[in-house]
Amino acid sequence: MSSRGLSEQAFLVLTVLVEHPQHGYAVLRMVDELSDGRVQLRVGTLYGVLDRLANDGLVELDREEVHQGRLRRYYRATDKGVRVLGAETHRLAANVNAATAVLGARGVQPKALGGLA
Amino acid sequence: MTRLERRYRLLLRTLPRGYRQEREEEMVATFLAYRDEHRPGEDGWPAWPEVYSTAGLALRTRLIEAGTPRSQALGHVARLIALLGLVTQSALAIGGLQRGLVTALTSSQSLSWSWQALLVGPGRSLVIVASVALLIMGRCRWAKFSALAAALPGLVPLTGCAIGQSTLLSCGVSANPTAAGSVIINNLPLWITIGCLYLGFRREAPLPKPGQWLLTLFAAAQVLYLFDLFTVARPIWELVSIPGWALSAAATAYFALVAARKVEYSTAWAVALAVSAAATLPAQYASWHHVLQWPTMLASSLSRTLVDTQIAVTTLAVLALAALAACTFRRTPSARIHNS
Repeated sequence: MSSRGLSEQAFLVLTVLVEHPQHGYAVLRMVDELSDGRVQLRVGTLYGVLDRLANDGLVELDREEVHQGRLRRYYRATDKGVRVLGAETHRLAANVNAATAVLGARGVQPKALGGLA
Repeated sequence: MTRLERRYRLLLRTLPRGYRQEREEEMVATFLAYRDEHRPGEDGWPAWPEVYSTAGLALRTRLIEAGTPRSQALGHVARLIALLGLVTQSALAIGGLQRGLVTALTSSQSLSWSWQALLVGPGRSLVIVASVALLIMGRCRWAKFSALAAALPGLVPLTGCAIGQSTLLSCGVSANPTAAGSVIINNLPLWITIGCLYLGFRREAPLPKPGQWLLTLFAAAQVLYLFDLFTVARPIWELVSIPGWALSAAATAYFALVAARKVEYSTAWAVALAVSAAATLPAQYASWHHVLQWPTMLASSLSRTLVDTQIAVTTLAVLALAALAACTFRRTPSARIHNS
């Protein structure tokens, strides 16, 4: 894997696949749900992310099924994928903790931006 | 098969054949499942975001990513062209800065300057050196931004700004700076470099080895600086395309090292050297055409021999490398390596 960490899209796809093996469309839906609609992957983007994760040895093919006459390929996270997701989560959590402490010192509670107005 | 499915399959034809053979059925199923849920019953065209994302995937699988051995080789080629171009441009820039500094320190006359001249001359040189340094340090995004900034002064003549001839020379615009053709051919190597920088160094691309490329940059800068000193007293040598000679010399050295089995042959290196050297040919042909138009008195036999020789050497190097690369590239498998 590149030493530059996982992109947000790769992080979310890997998170979905660590939970259970999933097929392409299920991954799209679950990434949408996990990110509260912030990250909406397109099909081309999804397969680009899956290729990168597979090349880094983080995901692999689990099985193939035919559903209503259409091919479904299920992918799963490898052991290395689980370890990398753990390390990435730890790194992000450390960043979040540091930022929360700094904001707390200024009396600001972290919250989503509700718009500029 | 519905009309929509046919259109999705048509869209997927932008992907490499090997990739499509493996993924087409699965991707069509995913496209149709998404469409069934979000826009049920509609039998129209693929949505624009689907077209963009598939085009992005096609670009990545064809040029950048490690999907197939052939696309791996193409991604490697793009990165090598970017590195060769940046190192050559930076070595020239360092040589120019060294020369400018020596002139400024030793000249007894007061030097005139303008902010435009500083921006297009030393400013541009520093930016291009910063670009290669950032790339070697792994700061790809800043390296791209910096390279793009370095290319902007080369476009100044296209905007019609009035800048002195000496200033234009320092940014690689030699003959007839007002002509758009001249601007294009003189800046072509840098534009190709920037294009390959953007294509080759995406997020997932491997980074260059810092030690190897810093040493190459330092050595190239010193050789070009010495050459620059040599040409100061011999203006006729200014007709020589330094990047053209540098890349031809690199190609010759590469052939010699491969023949002596000191380095292993790589198709990517052969293609990268061929493309980089070929990019300097339009400027060399322009220089040749320029010399042909000189009056006989001015066009000495030495100047013509110099220009003729450099074009012949570069063209031969490009043809030899291209022929070798074409033979070996065909043998590179195009099928995609399966994920698992």
